[in-house]
Amino acid sequence: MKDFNKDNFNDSIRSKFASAEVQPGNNVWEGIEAELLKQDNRSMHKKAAFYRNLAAAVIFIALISIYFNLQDFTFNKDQNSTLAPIEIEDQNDQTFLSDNDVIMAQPKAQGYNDNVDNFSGGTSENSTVAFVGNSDNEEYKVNEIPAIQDNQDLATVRIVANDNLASSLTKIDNITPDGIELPELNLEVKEVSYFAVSNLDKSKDKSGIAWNTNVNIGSGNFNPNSEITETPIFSTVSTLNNPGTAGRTTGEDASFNNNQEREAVEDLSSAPMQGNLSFTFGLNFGIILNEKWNIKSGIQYGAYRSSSLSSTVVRDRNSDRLYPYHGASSSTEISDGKVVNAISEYELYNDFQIVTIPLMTSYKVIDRKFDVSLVAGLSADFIIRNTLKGSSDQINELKFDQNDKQSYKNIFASSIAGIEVSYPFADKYAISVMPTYKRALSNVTTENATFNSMPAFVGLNMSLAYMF
Amino acid sequence: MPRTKEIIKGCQNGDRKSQYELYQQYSSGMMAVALRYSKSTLEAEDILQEGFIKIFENIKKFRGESSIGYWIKRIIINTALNHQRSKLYLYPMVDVEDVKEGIESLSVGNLAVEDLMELIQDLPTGCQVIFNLYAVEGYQHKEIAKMLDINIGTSKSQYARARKILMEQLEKQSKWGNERFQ
Repeated sequence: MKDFNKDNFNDSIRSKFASAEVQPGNNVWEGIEAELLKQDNRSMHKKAAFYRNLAAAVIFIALISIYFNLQDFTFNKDQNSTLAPIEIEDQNDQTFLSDNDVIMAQPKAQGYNDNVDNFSGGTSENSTVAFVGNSDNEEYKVNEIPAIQDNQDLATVRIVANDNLASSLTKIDNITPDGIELPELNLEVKEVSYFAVSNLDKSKDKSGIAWNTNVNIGSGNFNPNSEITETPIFSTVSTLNNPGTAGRTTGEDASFNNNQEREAVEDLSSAPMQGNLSFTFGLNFGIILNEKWNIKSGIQYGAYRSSSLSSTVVRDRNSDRLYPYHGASSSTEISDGKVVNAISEYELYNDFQIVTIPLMTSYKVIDRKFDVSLVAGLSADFIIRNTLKGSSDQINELKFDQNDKQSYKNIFASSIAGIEVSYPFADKYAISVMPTYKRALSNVTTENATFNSMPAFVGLNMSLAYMF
Repeated sequence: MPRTKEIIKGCQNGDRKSQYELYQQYSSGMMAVALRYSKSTLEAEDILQEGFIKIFENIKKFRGESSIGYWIKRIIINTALNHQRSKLYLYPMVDVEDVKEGIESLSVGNLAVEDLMELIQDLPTGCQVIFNLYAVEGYQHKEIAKMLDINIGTSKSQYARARKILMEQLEKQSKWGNERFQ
């Protein structure tokens, strides 16, 4: 076959195209930019997820460490607790191990060692019997010792050391017959699991009505369009995220294809918006009715975000400015002077600022170191601001405040359910974690919206409570 | 050149302005490349868009071992080949046996770039791709065979076929031109 590459034909073609330039359409850069924005968002989401997980891990570790630390410094006030004798090998290096591994110094008592020597009958020079337990006040109250057998009827020796330990031991010495041989105690000192049921009971004196207050922060996932119940179609509103509506002027064409409209709205009901990370914080006041029941109310502020991908914008014919277009919130903004245009896909954010007044009741089902309560209640939610914005700088923000006509009602009611796990500490305080599920009780959209919706919020609240 | 380096650095840091500048600088040239590998302007714009997204995604890997223009062109060509690959799969290339070499080379010197572009776009997909790679980009048949996962013979015969079609078209145009001016 002839080698065509050696003739002039290829050279001339090559030279023809060497400096050839063709201007591409503007939509190419728009498409590139939209894709780059999407990628930026994805990486932002990944970063946000990383920091969220990191924060959760830090909080978890902090809670665990607080639990262990506080446990070590809490002593039982129960005077009837049983004392377990343990053997201490080295009398000169006397330490006690509590059931929580707290090393305590042996109580200093005059004549203690001498008495102990007598008590043990001199059978064990370097060992003695010590008593470990939880004491009230600053004194060690020794109530009862397990039986010390003498083959006869010396079953139990009771020791009362209210004045001081030395005198008690002297009394023991006096009633112990000479030459008695005390059996060697072979009790081992063992570490006790932190998770063992402790005899450190909490006080149970909360039967009367008491007050508490708490501040809380929370985060979660809010999706205003997650529970779309109906898809009513209006001839005066436009479609949502439907590329087929390019350039269609709204408000002037009453005969546009309703099927197309319906399809678009049906698309909406198949998850057009996704919940993003949302934040809430608030202040609550509560009444503790008794050990089990608690009622609380307060005020919460929440910043909620949901997002979707959109390929339509509203273009203002006069200013030629672009605004995000979302059927749920911007349909009423479109007039004859505004048109819906299809553009490259971009991310659309729907931000809500909502003030909530909850009324909740909780019932304590587990009353241990960690209390577990079931929480249920209602809330009144006020939308104070609804903002629509696009991920591109070329798309302007749309804000709706309470006085603007918009697609969402300014107030709606929700039900709340959750499980609260709390840890009381330092008598007056408690920290708690509460996963919650909140859902609107009725449709939250107005008649201007293209659909009905009952939004849901799944969140995790952390709170610090103070009990009066 | 220092400005180009600044732009590249900006792109590597994800700066949107620098990305736009780089796009402005090379988009026209690359659009011409994309057009040669596609059948329509729309398809070429798709290739250009996809190619530039790849460029911005991978520009951190650009070490300056070749010129940025060459690097960008390689990505655009690869993107175009990926676009055409599905078509090549649907219409597999086979050896073209009866390609006569009798037609003398005609000059394309007087032909406008746009017209030449149209002639290339009208070639069958396989011929179009191989003609571009061999005649315009300067790849060897061995390299083309490797790139497209075909035999060297297929590459050669497809090129010959493309050239034959082009010659015929040029001849037609030449005759039509002569008749028109007579």
